[in-house]
Amino acid sequence: MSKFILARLIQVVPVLILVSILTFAGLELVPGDPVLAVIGPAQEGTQLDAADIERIKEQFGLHGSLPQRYVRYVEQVVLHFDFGTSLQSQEPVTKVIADRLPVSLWLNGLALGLSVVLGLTLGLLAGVRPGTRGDLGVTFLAVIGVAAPSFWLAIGLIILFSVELGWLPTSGWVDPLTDPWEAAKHLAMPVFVLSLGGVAVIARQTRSSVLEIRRQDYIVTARAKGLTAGAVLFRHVLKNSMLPVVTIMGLQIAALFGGSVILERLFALPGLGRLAFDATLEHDFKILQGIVFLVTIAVVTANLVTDIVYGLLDPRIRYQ
Amino acid sequence: MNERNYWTKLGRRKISRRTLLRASARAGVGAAGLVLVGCGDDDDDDSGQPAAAQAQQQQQQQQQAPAAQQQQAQQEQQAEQAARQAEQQQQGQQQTAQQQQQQQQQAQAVQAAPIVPRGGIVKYGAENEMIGQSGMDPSTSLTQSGLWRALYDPLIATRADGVVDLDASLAEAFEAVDDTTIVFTLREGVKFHDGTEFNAEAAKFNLDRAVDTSIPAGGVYAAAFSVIESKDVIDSRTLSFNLARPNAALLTNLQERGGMMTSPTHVEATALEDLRVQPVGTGPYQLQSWENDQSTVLVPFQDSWQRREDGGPYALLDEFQYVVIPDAVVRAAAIEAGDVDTFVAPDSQVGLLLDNDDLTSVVRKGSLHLSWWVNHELYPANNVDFRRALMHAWDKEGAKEVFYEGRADVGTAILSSGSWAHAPQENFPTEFNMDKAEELLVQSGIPEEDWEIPITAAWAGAEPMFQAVAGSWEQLGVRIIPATYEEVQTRPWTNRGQVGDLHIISQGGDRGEPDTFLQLALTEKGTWNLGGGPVPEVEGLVQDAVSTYDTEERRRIYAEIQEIQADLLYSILPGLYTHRYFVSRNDIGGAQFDLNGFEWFKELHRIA
Repeated sequence: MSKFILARLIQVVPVLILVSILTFAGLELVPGDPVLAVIGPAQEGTQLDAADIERIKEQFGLHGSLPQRYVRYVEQVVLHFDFGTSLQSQEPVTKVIADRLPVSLWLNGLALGLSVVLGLTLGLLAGVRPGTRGDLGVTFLAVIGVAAPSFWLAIGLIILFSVELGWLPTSGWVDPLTDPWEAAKHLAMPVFVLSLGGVAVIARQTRSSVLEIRRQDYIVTARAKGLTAGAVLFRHVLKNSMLPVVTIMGLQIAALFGGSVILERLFALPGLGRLAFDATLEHDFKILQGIVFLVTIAVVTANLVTDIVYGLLDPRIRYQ
Repeated sequence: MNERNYWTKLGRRKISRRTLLRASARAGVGAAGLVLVGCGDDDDDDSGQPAAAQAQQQQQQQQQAPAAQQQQAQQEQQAEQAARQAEQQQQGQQQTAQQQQQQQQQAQAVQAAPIVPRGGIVKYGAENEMIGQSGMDPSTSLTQSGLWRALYDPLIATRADGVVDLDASLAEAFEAVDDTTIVFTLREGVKFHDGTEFNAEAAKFNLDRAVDTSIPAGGVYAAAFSVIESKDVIDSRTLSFNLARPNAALLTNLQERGGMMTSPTHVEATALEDLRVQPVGTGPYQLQSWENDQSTVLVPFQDSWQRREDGGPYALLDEFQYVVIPDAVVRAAAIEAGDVDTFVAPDSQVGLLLDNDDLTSVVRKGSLHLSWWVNHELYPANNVDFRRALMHAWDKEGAKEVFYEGRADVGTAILSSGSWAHAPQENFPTEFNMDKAEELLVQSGIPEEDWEIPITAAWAGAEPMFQAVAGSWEQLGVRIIPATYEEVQTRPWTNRGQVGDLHIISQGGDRGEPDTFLQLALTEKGTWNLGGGPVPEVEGLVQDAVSTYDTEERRRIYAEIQEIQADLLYSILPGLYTHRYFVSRNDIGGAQFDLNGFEWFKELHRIA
């Protein structure tokens, strides 16, 4: 297993190098000068001369040619884990990201958990009793979950649960470690909306897998041996249905972050998604580089974990 | 003509975004409920809830309809009353500085702050973070917000109508000894939030910081205060300004951040990056806590120099919370749900909120203008007939109805209707007339193949208006060369002194003091004057207007400037003047706007 993990880790290195080049070049080459975007028009009635602009560029590490800036960027990141200084708040990017990370971890973690639990449960229920009202309901919910835009659903839920019923707060963040009940109320809608896509995909995948596995000969054999329905379901059907589901779960990490960009803004959650949204509007590409790099690491790690789980679920895979 | 009126057609079939979302939400949640019925047991009895809620809401809406109409009528009456008051206030502004001072002293003798209820928490729903954005250190911050006047006091305060308000100023009196010397007598017994005393040395310290370009990101007020040649501390209560020339805008500029006082002891003991997030002023509230992009909590400053009639501190609330909710729809939902108590309504939500019986509003008319920022040096827009043609091809009335449901004024001069110096111009192209526009295009002599204009919206918020303007102009046969938001941030402004190469649809404002706006908009070096280039007559008049303390004379000069600008039609050409609505729940009092059209938090209180 350790050899397998090591091999996968080595494969991660070129991915990270490629991602660093793409994010660096992509964001640096966006039209518009970030220094002028931040400082120029804001200084109403004043002018910046070339020397001022050069001084500011040096202050933010924006001086030199593109390759020079890239080398400096990699050096800072690799040796010091330093992503530079935010062009807007002028704080270290690592500090800005670290401040926001817990919010995104809670939101995405809970959403992923809910996706898995609800998706597996609904998929299992639908797969075990195909063609029933429950199965149709799950299928319909899955279609809605995939098709409904998250911003539309979020605003709809806010109007229903906050404005009309007054059950939940419209927005805001409370640390779950400080006040779990208030935190639960604040996170209920964003977690539900963020997880819905995942629930739909996992439920559909689980249903298909369960239907497929239930037709296998070894399931008939298990039943013929006199195993209870529950034992057959959980010991044989569910375990063998998990491989494609694990793949989907790995992919959900990136999808969750994408979804949280909009939802964190809508629900006024001060997480990485909202930070990325604001940084985009404000041309704060130092922040964006840091976030993209971090998300890349998260996705690569998730894929690695997925591969390891594959090996655990199916011992044949680890030797391939 | 009628078939060209895009707005009429659009207006007939419009459905508000909120209405659509409400309907969609009900349908969506109802559908989800049906699914849950399908998934659950047959005897599951929870599924009726969304339908019941929907029916209940429909019933409430039916009951509220007459009340909503009545509310709307009341709002209209309030708006008219506010307009009348503004006119009266403008008249009051015609006094000289000395007259204003006398009037204030008399008013001080007869006016007593009414007793208003104390206690409670008020939550304000804000679109943007303030402290986290560029800090709340007066010498380096670039933010504008009502938070400033809750935390800080200026050397000279002005009321919403522009009249000097010595009751709220750190200077209890001032005297213009001659045209270029102003002597300020400072208040005694004023303390900063850190317990140190405010005096003339502290005032000088702050004013020096406001223009200090050696502070990183500092010198924000270097241009505005450049007229002050020297500041002399006469004694602990007396400060004298020697001006390079008379400057009527100085008193107004002193009520902004540059004139706000922070504790010198605090500044000297605190690192610059910490000063940004640790405001220490003399204002009625002091900072209790701040969480970036979430909330800023203020509590009363018990030793505030301003006191209420009951002898207590000026702050009326136990706590004031500034809660950041970036999305406009969610912010509006938050006030409807009672999650926040007050906010400035986003334009897209005003109509819905004015219909809500649980809410009241205060309006500031003509707060901003949506304008075409003309590069008058760029062919073919360097031809005044071409520019006039395009202005006539912009259906401002239609845009007013579609985007603001009628709650805006059509532009009639470069200074907005909210400015005390606004003078409507007959020659300003307000009328939507495509025939006239075509006539002017032909008259311009510019060949049809050259009818094109590189233009963009300044930011996403201006995009709908940009689309509207561009659509109208394309109907006229003018080709639109769109540019990106990124380009707007560099191309027009970085070539100051040269000619830029873009036109912009943007939003701006005159911020109470006409000189501040006109210096930027109409002078050769004004950052907002995209075409640059000297217009000597206007340059001279702008300087003349700010060089006299006679407000009536200033008004006359500003009217002349507006007339010339309407003839030459350059720089900023307003299509609409928009209004701001400070909306509060019915149990909140004291909501009002300041001179610059920003929220005024100092008087907020809970109605018993």
